[in-house]
Amino acid sequence: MVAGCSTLADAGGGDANAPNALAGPFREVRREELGQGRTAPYALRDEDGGVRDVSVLDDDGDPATLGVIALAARRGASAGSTPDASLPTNELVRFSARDGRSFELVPTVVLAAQAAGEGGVVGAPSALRLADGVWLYYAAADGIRLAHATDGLTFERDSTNPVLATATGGWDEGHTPSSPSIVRLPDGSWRMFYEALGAVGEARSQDGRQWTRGVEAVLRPPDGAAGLVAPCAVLSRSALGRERLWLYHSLESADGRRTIEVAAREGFDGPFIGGTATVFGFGSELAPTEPNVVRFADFSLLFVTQRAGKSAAQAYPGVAVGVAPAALGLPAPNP
Amino acid sequence: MTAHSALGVALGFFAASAVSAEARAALPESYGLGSRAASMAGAVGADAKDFSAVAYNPAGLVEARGLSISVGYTANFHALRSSGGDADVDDVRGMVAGVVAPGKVMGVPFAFGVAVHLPDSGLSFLKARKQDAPRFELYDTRQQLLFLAATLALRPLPWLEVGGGMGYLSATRGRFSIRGSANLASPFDSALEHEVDADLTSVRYPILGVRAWRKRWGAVGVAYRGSSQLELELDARLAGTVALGALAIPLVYELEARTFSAFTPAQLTSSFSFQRIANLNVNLDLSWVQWSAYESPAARINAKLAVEVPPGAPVSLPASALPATPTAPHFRDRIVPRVGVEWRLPIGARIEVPLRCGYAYEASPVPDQRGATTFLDADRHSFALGAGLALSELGAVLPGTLRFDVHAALGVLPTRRILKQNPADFVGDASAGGHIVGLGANAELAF
Amino acid sequence: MAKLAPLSFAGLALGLLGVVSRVEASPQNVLGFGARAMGMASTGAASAEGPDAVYGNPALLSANRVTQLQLGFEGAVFSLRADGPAVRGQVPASPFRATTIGAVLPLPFGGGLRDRLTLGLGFVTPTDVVVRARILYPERVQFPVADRVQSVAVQVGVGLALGHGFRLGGGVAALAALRGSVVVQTDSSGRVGTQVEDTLVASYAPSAGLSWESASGRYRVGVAFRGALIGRFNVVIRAENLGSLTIPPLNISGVAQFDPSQVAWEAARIEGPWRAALGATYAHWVSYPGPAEATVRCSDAAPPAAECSAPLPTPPGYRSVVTPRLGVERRVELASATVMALRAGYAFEPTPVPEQVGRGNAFDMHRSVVTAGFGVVFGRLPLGIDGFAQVHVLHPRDHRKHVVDGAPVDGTLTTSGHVLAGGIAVTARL
Repeated sequence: MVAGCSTLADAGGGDANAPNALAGPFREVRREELGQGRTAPYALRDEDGGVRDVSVLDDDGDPATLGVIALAARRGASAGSTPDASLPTNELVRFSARDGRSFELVPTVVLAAQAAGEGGVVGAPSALRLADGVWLYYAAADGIRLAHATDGLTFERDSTNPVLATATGGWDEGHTPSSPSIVRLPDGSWRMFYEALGAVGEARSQDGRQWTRGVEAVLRPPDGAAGLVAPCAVLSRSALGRERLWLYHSLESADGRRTIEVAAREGFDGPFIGGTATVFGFGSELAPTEPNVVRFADFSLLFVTQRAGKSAAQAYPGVAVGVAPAALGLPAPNP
Repeated sequence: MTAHSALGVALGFFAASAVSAEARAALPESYGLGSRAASMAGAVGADAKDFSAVAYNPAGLVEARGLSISVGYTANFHALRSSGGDADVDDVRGMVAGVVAPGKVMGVPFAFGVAVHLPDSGLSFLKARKQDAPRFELYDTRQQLLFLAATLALRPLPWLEVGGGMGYLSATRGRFSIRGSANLASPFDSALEHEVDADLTSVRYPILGVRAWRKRWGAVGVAYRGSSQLELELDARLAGTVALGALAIPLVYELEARTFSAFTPAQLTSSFSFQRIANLNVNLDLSWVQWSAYESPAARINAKLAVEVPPGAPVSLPASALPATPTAPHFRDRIVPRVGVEWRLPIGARIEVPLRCGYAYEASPVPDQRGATTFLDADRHSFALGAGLALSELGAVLPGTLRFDVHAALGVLPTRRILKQNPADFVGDASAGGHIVGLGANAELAF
Repeated sequence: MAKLAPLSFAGLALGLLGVVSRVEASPQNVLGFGARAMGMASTGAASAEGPDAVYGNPALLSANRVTQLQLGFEGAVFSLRADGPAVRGQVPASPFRATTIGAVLPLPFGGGLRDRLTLGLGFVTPTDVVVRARILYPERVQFPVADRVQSVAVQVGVGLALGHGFRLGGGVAALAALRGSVVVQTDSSGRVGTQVEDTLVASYAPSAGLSWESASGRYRVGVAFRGALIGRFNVVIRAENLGSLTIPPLNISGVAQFDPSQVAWEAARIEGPWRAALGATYAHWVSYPGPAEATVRCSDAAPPAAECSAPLPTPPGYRSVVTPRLGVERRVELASATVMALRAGYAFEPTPVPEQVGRGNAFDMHRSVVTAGFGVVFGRLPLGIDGFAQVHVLHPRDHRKHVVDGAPVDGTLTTSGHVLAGGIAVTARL
């Protein structure tokens, strides 16, 4: 099973053959590593719709091959109007790339905010590839929702939506979850990590539809930080076979800066322990958030949503790409 | 340089570096100096009387019967693996040579010896690495070192020999700076010049040894070699302005790098050579190796690039690295046993064929790497074989002996598991192991 | 941070006055090698004895039939002056101190090779440096002679007695050089990181010699060739992936040590109580490329190479020189077969460095070298002792500075100075 934000792949190789967990830190991809005429480090940058919040799936489940599909959110144009990237996203689109990061320029719209309860908003997709097709979780006005597509293109909303609605009790009582990230464990059970109250909560399920919230947030911001948002869960197995559950997230400082951090837990339960360094965006003024990590055999790619540039004209969001191990040079882009 | 496209950058790059490189017996310790010693796994502390005695126990030089000149070549191929992948540790290859000149001073037997191992890759190699960078610290750059030593020996009593001398290498200390103007739009049109003020300084270290003989039984010996390491101190400063049209952007780059590398520990070796049986030498060496003195080899690098870029200026720069605090490596001392056997097979009066073998066990001095550092290492079992051919009295021109020796050695490093305490460690769990193959040959002309 | 204009930083660098020197060469090239030879104005192509022959003329190693080991110490101090518009007074220079090791090892072959082949070793190890690499900005006041001695000398030679008075020899001299890299780049965490690598390498130069001595054994002529010995300093600074700031590779490179190729020829009287050597040494300084290499090189640009206007260092304009040498030795036999020798010598070494009329301040002057020495060979002990002293008088020289040639101001700058050197060595015959 291979899922965006939840690829199973063994660690090893990379960084001039030194051991590496392929979990970070990430460097920005370089100009010569990005194809399709994209401007590094941005794999996606659309001034009109403001493509953002990408979820990248290995398209064949084989970490040795680099083909991926990406599901992203954007602000689509309504009838008679032009898109406005500053507004909430209202449609999910699909890109593909043969090299893992050089996405085609024109995407396919796979889901628009039309259902009742969505409130005209769909965003923050988290996709998994299962035997029966692609399961797509996304955030909407009424909580976390689910859609399926056997062909990866034509998504049908699940009848149980929203699968995780506003909490009626517990630590996030009264708050609607957002920014979901879902992984399926080797035993067939499901875990969802979501953002609420500037912290990350965890929910568990046996079927992907019926979810049970945890009694406490699993990751809270450290003292002095404003919030800890946009979780992205990734499963891996260490070089010695130990299971890891990585939880990437965006940490907001009190002065509004953001960095991408990571924590991990031994196995699938227990506390998360923070990484020893920021994995992306240290010192950046571009406020990266919504991390998404896809692991290949020799490296991992990190996709983040951040400002398209520092100038006032580049205030709209784009999706930047990082690579770990940083010492590794990516294979040539295709095309 | 045009006003619009050029950057007027004053680069003041001030650096002070001190690289103390020391040729401590990296090659003799790890792979053996000369084929005879290598084929007995280095167990020759009480049984070396050729040029290798310079490294193992200089007291043995006085056993030489006449002037001898040796030259050879050794190659050690690393097949070390981390987490199943080739760790890409450089091979160690180089020429070995030595001269031993015995004689008498005021009736006291006396000898002078010089030995050198000249790596193909240079006299020394230093690489400053970040603390968390995984590396085979004991086998990587540490072995890329010159071994050059000169020693004296004398026999004040018929049963007692003493020797001592110095090993040499060089260190570096100095600064360099760069100035001028750099052209951002067309970097290779930059008008820059530099200056260097550096010394490669000399480093000496002692080699001492003593041996006691008993006829028809053999010898015992004790040898000592001091410790050393490569040091790097690098301070750099680059300051100036970046001109963008009418805009002048101040720029400062500061660098501090401190590291130790290529540490070779102090070593005290007790040696025994049993020679009770004719034509058979059985040697046992026990070395105490002071790895606990190992300082953190991780580079402490503080670098800061400060540019006050005005809003909207098309210049973006990454942030500066955070200063790293070195973690004490806590290496352990180790006792290294070495066993070597030489059986000399006479063929007629003028030909002798020595056959040799040896074994050594070197427990890893590196503790479990559960934290910030990932020093890859494993216990090492070294098996060695060798043979020689000694031809004596080859005619009027060569009244002495011509010897050829070859050796092959296999070092086996059983896989060691490295389990990280923090599940979010960026290096992650790993394994380390592999093997090392050593080959070499020597020719010696002994008068 | 206050703005720093390029010229203002250049001015700061100009203000750094210190111990400076430029073209460095090995100590044997400036002072000579071997206590006996150094007491005789560094003669030796026809007159060298013992380990001195490793440098003087390796062919003469074959004249030694007894194994010898020599240990010694030598040193030199410098007094250097520059008086002119921008600088006045003494320019400090580090003293030179070194230990020496020499060995002569006759190879005891038999038959046709009996008493013909001898191996020689010679080491000069400064107490605190192996090589001094000073490649300074041209306007820094600098005297080549001071740091030329700050280098280790490693020499190996072999001599062969051909018969009929002919001897042939060859050898090699070695020097340490440095190469490395400093890479400044965005590291894995997105911060500016630095990687440093440093490799010491060896450079080599061949030497060869030929001599002939008369049938009486009283006179000898010899010629020795020494190849150019060059020690390069080469550290490349690369600044990569620093956002939108592009900096070309910065080559901190140059010739840290340079011994020009030389040919020394000499005639000597080598027997009797009075011994003398008269000769000359040609030094091919004209091939000296200059200390500094280009910091930015067009060849580093990625193809297709655009037009590149990175400046090149000004050629130094050195000229080759011939140094005449005269050495005299008087031997006196004392009691118990002990022999004492008194030595003296004179050499005049013209400067290879042109007058510094422009921006450059690498000063050198003609040098008169007056030497004296002694030696004692003990009759009952297998030991000998040799000592020497040298005075190098640096003849005053005017450098007429002109703004049109690049000097900051017009005017005349006068340089002068002297060097005092001495040493002692003990030789054991094994």
